[in-house]
Amino acid sequence: MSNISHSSFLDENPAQVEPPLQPSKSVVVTVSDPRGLHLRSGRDVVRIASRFQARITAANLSRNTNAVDLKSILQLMQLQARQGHSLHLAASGPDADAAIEALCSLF
Amino acid sequence: MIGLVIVSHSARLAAGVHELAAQMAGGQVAIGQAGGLSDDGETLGTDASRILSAIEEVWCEDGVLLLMDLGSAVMSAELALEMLPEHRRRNCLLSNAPLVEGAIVAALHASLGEPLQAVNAVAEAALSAPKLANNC
Repeated sequence: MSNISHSSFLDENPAQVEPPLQPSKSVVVTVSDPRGLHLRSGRDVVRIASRFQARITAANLSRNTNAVDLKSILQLMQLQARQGHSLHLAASGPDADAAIEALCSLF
Repeated sequence: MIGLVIVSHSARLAAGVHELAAQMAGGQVAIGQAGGLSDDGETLGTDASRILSAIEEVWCEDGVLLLMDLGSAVMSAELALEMLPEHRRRNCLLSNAPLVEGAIVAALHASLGEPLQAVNAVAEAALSAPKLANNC
């Protein structure tokens, strides 16, 4: 019985069951490089993304892919992004705005 | 910042993987290579003493991650570690990562200043990373 009353106490306390709200930001960018998003430009994306605490994802809308982790070079390469493809970048975390702003200039 | 060593049966393959890794690291990571059995690069195989030299060339206290192609490259790398003094061997790690993908990922994350175990973890994640967009 004591276990049950303990868990109902937790349920009544939202701070312990809901994650804190994080600022989030997203944008759609177009790949401008004639060679698409390749290893070297991908390296620069990962390098910039890694400076931010925010969780950052990218999906290739032109290929209808799932979102991948922008801080992973191999996942980024999985997007197979060619010139003209639209990528949806999304960030959530305390520095989400700054992360998206910094990343936009790379595409 | 950790160092990397590329181990391959082929000197030319080791040099090519080194070239890719160096570009990902942007010149910030010490990357050694031990490919083939002979200095002229013509004989295929792996040699523990060549691997040992490569480790010593890039040695630093933060550690050295070794990436091998397969088979006896792994055994030769193990032998090379046994030839190291104990205090250095403790800071060396053999990676289970695939050579090309692993070297690219490891070089990039090493250049971000990540520690040995963390760099190896992201490199080994390449084992389960598909290449094709349809699978992501």
